[in-house]
Order: sequence, then structure tokens, then C-alpha cells
Amino acid sequence: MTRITREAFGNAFRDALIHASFNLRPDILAYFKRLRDEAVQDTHKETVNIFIDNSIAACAEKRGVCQDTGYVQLYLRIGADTVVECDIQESADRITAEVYSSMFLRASIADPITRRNTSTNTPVFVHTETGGGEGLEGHIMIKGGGSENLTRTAALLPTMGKNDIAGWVIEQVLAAGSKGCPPYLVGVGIGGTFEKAVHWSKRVLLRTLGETGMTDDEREIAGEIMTETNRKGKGFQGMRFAETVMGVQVRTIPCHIATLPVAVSIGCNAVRQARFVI
Amino acid sequence: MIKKLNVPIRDEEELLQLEAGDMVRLTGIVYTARDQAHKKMIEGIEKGEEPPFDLQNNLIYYCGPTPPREDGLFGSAGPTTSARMDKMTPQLIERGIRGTIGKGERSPDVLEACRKYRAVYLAAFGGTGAYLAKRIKKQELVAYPELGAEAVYKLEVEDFPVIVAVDSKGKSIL
Repeated sequence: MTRITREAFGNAFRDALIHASFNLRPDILAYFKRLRDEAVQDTHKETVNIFIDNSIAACAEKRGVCQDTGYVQLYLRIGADTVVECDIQESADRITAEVYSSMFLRASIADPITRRNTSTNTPVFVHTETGGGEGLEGHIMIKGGGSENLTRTAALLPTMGKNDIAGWVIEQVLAAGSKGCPPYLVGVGIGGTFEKAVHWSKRVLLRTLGETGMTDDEREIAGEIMTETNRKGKGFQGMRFAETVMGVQVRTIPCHIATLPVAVSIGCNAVRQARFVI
Repeated sequence: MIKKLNVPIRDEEELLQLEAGDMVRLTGIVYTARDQAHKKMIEGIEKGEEPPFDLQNNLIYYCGPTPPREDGLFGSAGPTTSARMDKMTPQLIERGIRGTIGKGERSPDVLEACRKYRAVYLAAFGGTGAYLAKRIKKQELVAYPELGAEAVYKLEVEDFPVIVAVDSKGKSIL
């Protein structure tokens, strides 16, 4: 039996939240460096360099990687024989409010009707699953509003196949243009229920660029989306060079015989995240 | 080649020679305004009130920065998505605004307003807020403090990098 105290959870969550806020994902930083080295035109090289310099300034000077310091999403897996001795929502909200205020991060959460800012950047959006090995594993994702506005869902027909699904996703990504800060991470959830499709479309954005482990069908769909969006898209920041999409991850879940829910989530180039384990 | 643009626009030639696709560095004054500040400005103008800053020859930056730090400056201050302001932009251009700065595509109406009133739309790099904040040398709160990050700030910028996304002929690269 593993017991996780309020203090242990709070410390791990706080460290991960601070790390995520000021550090570009290492795989994305490596991707930018490769683009810079491969860039032919000087203006392209200079453009990509601005993104690299940005990540250096963010980390060294504790500046938000992006001024949209986002909403905080917390994915938790509570393992077998594990007890968390605190109210996770309360702890996560309290620490988020404290970190955003003390580290000069922007409070970006408002009442949907009055638009009055909660001024704490809370609530944190918590997803919990159970199972797996003993202990607790958490992933923090900090996502901005520009890319969030590009999330799309569709009720496709159960008689439709891989090409139709990929075709619909390609349309959505191309329609997003450069509004959500390309190069994009594209996450696709296929099946389940509507909320599960959306949930997984966003959750797979946490995967590292080029991460393997998809099924053959998932990989085939991801490959087609990657190829076509980069063939037809507008490239890095809409500037017609390099790539529109830097990675595609797909997750399929069994669904009702009458349905085929599909969701696509877009991660901007500055999607921030961190993992913690207790 | 990287062009220079001094803002607000005093030398019209500098603005008119910009072409869609040019990389430009801005130096001078810009005003931040995004969703809620636009809504308030437009509501005020429709009631016959004076806008919170002189629109004539000025540029608007769609930006909601992180809070000022110990040095009094924002830690991170990159562009937000411009399309959300599309419905309100032509009215502001008609009243003297010569440029807007943001990220992503604009509507045909904004392109037409740029052509008709010889204004530009400049794309700043989305996701480089830390870098761009370092190009801001001074900031001053101008209006709507109750909007927090969405308030109108007067910014003094130096060598602030942008791409001409829509030029004064209404030509767009996005």
C-alpha cells in the first residue's frame, strides 16, 4: 500500500507546473534546431532562431514560453493499492493560484458569460484514471486558447473507413490555417464516446514527437494526415517553408455500432507539459 | 533583407513600400488591444466617445501579456489570434489605424480595409512571447485597467520582428 500525503502531492505538482511553464518541450526544441540547420533562406533561419532564442530566454529568465500561460490540465493515474490523502482538486487549484501569482504568469481563466477573470488561473481541469503499478503518475499540460479554439468533432458514419477519417482530419487542420501557431502537433481520437474522443485527441498530444506504439491502423491514419497536411499546408507560421504539422498521434477506442465519433485537437508549437511520479 | 518601420507612421512611404512577405523590424510605439478592449472601444465609438488613444497613424498589437515583473516590464508578450478581431478591425482602420499586429489569417473585409485605407497587417511569431517581451523597452497602462491582461497598454518597442502578412495593396501571404 502506497500512501501519498498532501505535502508529497503538492510538492511534485508544484515542481512539474513550474518546469512546464518555463521550458519548451525538449523534443520540440530539438525539432526547431534541426529546422534551423536545414533552412536554406536567411529569413527562414532567422525566423526559426527566434523560436530557439525564445526558449532560452524563457528558461534562463523565468519568462512564460508564451504569454498565453494557458489553462492547466492534469492527467492523473492512481495505481493499484495507492491512497492519495488529500483533495486533489483543492490542492491543484491552491498551488496553481500560488505559482501563477508568484511567478508572474497570466491568469487566463474567466467566467464564460460575464468574462470576469477568476484571477487564479483555476480551476485546474483534472482527469483521473486508475490502475497500473502502485504509486501516482501525473502529466501536466498547459495549453493556450488559440489552439484550443481549433478543436473539432464530427459524427462520421459507422460505414466510413480510414480514408474518410483521415480526410476529415486533414480538412480541419488545413482550415485552421496559421491561427494556432504552426508547426502543429495533431492529436486524433477515434471512437469511444464523444467526450472520450475529445479527451484522447488532446491527451495524445503529450506523446513525444515520433513516439511509436500506435496500432497499424492508427499509424496508417497518422501517416496520411502528416503527409497531406504538409503537402497542402502553409508551413512554419504560415510562411511557406518547412512543415505545417510536426507530428500526428492517433488513438482508437471501441465505440457503439451506430456511431463513429472523431475528434481532433491541435497543439501549438509551444504546448507545455511535464510529468511527475510519486 | 530585413526592412525597418518606424511607428506610429510618420513617413507614409515607409509603409507603402512594404510588401506581403517582407520581414520587418518595428521601432516606436504600439498599443495593445484584444477581444474585450476592442468590444469596449467600439461600443464607446458608437456612443460618440473618444477612443482611449489617438487612432490616427497608430498600430494595434493583439496581445494580452503576462503581468509586469519586478523591472516593471512584461515577462512574455507575444501575439494572439487576429481573426477574433476581424469584425471590428475595418471600423478602426477607417478611423485612422494604419496597422494591426497579431497571428493567423484575416477576413476578406480586413484585406479590403487595408487596401482601401492603405493599412497593413503584420504577423508576429506565435509562441515567442519571451523573446518579444525583451523587445519592449517601456510600457504604460492607458485604458481599461479592469480588464487585467486585456487592458490597453502603450508599448515602446525596439527592433520588434514581424512579417508583412497583408500589405497596403491588400495582398496577403497567409
